[in-house]
Amino acid sequence: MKATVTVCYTGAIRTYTGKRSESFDLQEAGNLRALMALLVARYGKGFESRVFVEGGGLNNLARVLVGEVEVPELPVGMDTALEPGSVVTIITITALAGGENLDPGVHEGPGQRHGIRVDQS
Amino acid sequence: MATPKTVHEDVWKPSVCYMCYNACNILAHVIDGVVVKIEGNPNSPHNGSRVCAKGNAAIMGLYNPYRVTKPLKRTNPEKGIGVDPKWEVISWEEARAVVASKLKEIRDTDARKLYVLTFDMQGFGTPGNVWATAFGTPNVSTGPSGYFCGNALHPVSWSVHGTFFQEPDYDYTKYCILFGSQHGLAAFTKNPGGLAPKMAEARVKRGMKLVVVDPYCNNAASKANEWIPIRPGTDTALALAMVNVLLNEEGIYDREFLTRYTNGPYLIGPDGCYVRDAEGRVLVWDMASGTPRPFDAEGVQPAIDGTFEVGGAEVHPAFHLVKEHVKKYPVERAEEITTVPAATIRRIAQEFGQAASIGSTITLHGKVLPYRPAVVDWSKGAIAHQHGMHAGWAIQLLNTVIGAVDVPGGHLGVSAKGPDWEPTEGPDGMLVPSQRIAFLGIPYPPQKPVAPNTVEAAELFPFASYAMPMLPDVLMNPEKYGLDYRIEMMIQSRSNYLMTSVDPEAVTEAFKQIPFIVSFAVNIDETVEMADIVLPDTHVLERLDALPNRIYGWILPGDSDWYWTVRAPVVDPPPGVRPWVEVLYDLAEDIGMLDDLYSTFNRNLKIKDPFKLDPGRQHSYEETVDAYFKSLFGAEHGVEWFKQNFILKTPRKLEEAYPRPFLKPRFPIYLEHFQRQGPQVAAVTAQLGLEDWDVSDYQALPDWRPCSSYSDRGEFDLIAINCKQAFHSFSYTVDAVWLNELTDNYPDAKAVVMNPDTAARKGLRQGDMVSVRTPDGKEVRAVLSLFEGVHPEVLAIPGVHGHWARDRKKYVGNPGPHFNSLLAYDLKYIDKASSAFDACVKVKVARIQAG
Ligand code: SF4
Repeated sequence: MKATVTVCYTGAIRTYTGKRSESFDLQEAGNLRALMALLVARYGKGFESRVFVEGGGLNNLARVLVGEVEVPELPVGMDTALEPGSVVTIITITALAGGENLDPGVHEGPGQRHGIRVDQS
Repeated sequence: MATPKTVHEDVWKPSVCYMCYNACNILAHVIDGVVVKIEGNPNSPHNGSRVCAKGNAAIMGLYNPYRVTKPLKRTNPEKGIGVDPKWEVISWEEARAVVASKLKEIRDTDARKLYVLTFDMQGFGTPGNVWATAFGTPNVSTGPSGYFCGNALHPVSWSVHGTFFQEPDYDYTKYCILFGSQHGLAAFTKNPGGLAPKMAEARVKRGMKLVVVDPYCNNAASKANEWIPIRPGTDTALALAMVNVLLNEEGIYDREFLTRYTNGPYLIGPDGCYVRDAEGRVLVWDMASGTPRPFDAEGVQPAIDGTFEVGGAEVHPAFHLVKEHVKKYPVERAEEITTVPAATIRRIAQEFGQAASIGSTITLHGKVLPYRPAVVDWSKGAIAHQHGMHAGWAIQLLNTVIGAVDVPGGHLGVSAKGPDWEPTEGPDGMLVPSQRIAFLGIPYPPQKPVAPNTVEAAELFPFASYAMPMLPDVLMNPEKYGLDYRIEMMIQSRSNYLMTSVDPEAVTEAFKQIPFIVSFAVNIDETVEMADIVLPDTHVLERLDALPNRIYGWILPGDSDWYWTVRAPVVDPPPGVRPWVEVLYDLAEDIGMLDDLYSTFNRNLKIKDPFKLDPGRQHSYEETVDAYFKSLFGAEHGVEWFKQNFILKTPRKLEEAYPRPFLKPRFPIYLEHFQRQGPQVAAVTAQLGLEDWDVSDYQALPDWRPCSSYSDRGEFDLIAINCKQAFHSFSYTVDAVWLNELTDNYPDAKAVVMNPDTAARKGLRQGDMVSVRTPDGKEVRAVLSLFEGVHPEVLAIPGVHGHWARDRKKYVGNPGPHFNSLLAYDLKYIDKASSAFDACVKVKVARIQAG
């Protein structure tokens, strides 16, 4: 039996792929970079522009995850090796006004960076 | 004698105003479930105890007797301006079933066919992104605000500051010039409650001078030290002439700043592109070795001016080209273009340059920082023009050359750097906004133009944040843009497109192409009258919106705390009325997309364990907000905490308030990548057969180019402009009737306003009923008012008036003129770089009836 990886698509990227998920042979897509090259070749410039910007970085409205870990947080980023059963998720965000997913600096306990200031209304 | 009523509840509840986008923090006085007064929240760092007239009047919108309280179905298939939809009341069950079945059909076939139109960025923004992403449509847009809003502002701000918004630093500046902006003095996003007191203090304590450049003596100009009337659409020429005075007459510029923090030293070859070595690294001219070296080489001492030879070609540092380029704009030429006297241009530039006190420093919190207490800010008045992108860049150059970017006293990005986010270094060492705060299109690293997949055709505007004005043409002619689908359903809320974009007739025809329109509405406005189904939505005082003071926009910049708030309901909605986002989340269950919704929610918002939504069960909308808050702020800071305590503050460090001296990435004064995008856009548009797509604005340095209203005016001798009123936002504030009474008592509010000398030349008098016509055959009629504070070549038309919706006509009173009806929808009026729609139009004015 061939070892495969699964790629899931969320958001308007599905309009390029025409499907919600698909499987790839690990021999063709041994790491994330190779997998993405394969997808760009298959789904064309529209797909590429939704996911990448000039120079090969990720578009600010695209997220690529291996399992639940996003590319910027993967130790070797796009060079991450894929394993049998790996799930890669590509999300293209339909952006109206962004989400606030930053760390507001509110930390309790050891390692606290900032105090919280609460003023009663 | 009547028995005195027993009061059971008498409380002041905190929430956030939404009568404009400034998100002022308010306290609502509620007696027995009825809001009787709204005031500012004295505990708020945002606006303190101040609210404007609109904020006060929100009560009247809440209790407007014409509110929609039941779902409605259109029974008249004919649609159009003034056509009675013949509404029929239906049950929520029926409405939800009809809407869900259409949504499901679209999602199962081609999700792109759903279009969501809203300017509810604070309520819909975060949960809406999640919903639309899970649904799979790329077609969500910010509505007609995108015609004249930050089209040419956000790309500049993203590039220079790494933020969506930018503001002057009123805490430390001493000289402030506003171009077509009422910063701090009117509403929308310009925080009068928070900034006006700072401006007042700056004037009293530091003698700050305020100069306002505007064709109309607006609120801001009336408070300024100096009002400079300018011919509309010529701000670029004024700004470039001022830069020329600074660089080539006075020799005032911040060499160190330009060398360290901008691409000013990067060598530019004869082709206008960066000069690179064999490895592709951008070169600078190293003065120490007298050779070209990579910009980031150890110990390099880059030149920013001069002519050098590399590989047999003559090359120059980018700053050198800027300096040479602006020589095209001597003050005398700028006077011809702008009508601002040459001596005034020179004097203002000199004052600005001297106020910058280049080389000075300031010690804040024990750290020494550069101090540049001079700043220019601009807004849509300057950039809502056919070549708006150039206006934004030209004006920003003034801040850049004096080094007043993200340092005390200068021009600040609102939130470039925070506790765990900051801009990163992208290709060629240039600034890339932190992905944590970047949304919509950002201009760097460059996006690749491709054939459109979206109904805004935003793919043809790779440098812009959005391309809203394209919508009507793409709806009418999707095949022209290569789209292989048509929009089949529109969900619309808080976005009165018919009135706040241009040319209502053209937009009506475009909306007729959409077979099924669902509007979530508080009142039936002009756009809602096009709907097939209307669902009753909550008033802003009845809603739960997470974090309306968005960190990337609606907070104060500079040396103050970070703060997070909630828009909490202060009263219950009428029976049967529900918040629209909550209904969308319910519909997700009806169409079987809860799994996708929750997994997208968890991933997009990086929800931490144990707060992740469980796809195995349905969560109420409030539970989703609660999970979001707890994930961001810790388990004890959920919705209940925010309802009780309202504001959560954390200290902002100095390097977060004034990040530039602490950042390595550079920002552009020379738009090399923008210039390279021109041919790319040309290739894509040629492939689509859009032969007349003009890409000539894709150039590395800004130039003034005329709007259509500038030349060959003939009998259309005046330029009509729209001027904003501090007591109205867009069109929706008319639903709060106090504001209509205020408007009717304000002499110019529903008139067309002309300079008395111009009127005398034409034999026109105060109070005459006049016809205002354009060469495109558009016309409005209104009463003429005379005011010395209007540029003699200008006809100023205030606000968004002229309402025709059937309900609104019952309470708006005198409708007044509708400026946007003068603007014909034509692609030639759209800036092909920023997507701004030109908001000045040549007109002729003739008396119909003496006043
Ligand atoms: S400025 Fe805007 S948000 Fe503030 S009180 Fe006025 S309308 Fe409300």
